[in-house]
Amino acid sequence: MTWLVFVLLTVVALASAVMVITQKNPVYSALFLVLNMLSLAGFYVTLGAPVVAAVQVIVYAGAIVVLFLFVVMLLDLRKSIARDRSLGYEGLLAIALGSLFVFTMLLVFWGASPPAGGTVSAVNGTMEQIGKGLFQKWVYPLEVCSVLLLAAIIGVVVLANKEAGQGK
Amino acid sequence: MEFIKTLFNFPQVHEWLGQAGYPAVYLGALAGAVLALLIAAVPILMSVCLSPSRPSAAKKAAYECGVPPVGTAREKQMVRFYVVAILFVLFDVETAFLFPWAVAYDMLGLFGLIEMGLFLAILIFGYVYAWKKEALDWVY
Repeated sequence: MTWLVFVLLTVVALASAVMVITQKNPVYSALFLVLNMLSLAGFYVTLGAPVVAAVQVIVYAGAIVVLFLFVVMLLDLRKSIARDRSLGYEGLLAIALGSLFVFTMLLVFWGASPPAGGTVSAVNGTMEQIGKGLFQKWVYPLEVCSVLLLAAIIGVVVLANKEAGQGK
Repeated sequence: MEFIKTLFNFPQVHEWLGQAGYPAVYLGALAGAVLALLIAAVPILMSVCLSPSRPSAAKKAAYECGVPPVGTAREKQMVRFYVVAILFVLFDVETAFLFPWAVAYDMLGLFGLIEMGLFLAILIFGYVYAWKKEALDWVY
């Protein structure tokens, strides 16, 4: 049955990924991206990582795609739809980086050993375990994380005030 | 919640989930997904099936409080909205940290509470900063 779930998720993920890059309307692309990210969350569940799946839905499918939609709306849509879609050096760069990625993944599949100190399957990814780890062993990185988020908030506010032309 | 439990409490579903290697916790997620799909699909299907379809040019026009629409709906948005979107992403990430904390709360005790208090205090400082700098205001 896990096999069936895997096949269904794979079909949805691949089909939605193809739709993301073939849709003419960027808003539709963003919506298919949501579908793609949700199916990835399904993969995380089948791999026994429910926290990663939850974060995938909350942060990526929720917030990040909202951000993408805002970027799409900030740009002039009609211009970008009408624009010539031929690829220049960006296409070559994309092919090069994509080939590198496929090559790396093939290395992983054909028996590259996991990095030192880590095993592939021994991670206990339940919500409880991650909560315990975060707030006992990794407390200082967590607090540093909050400072990082604070820096991001202040950065956004400062940059936005500059763009809006009011230096209050 | 009880309703959902009884609705999805078929032995077959439990057996299927057990065979697939999923804990019964996902039953709730499955129930939520099915309900969300139904809530979205049923009204659309009902309006497609039940209502008569006699379209005219006036009916197909975009409705804008009775005034004839001007231009397209795809206008450029203000940069201001974008700021709210980025702040939403940041506080969303903060919320993602709250979930594991809430689940492991019993094991963490007072130390966990203080840690989360510190974590939230730092971020609430950012919220107050954004508020004071009027990043959340619409009219200026």
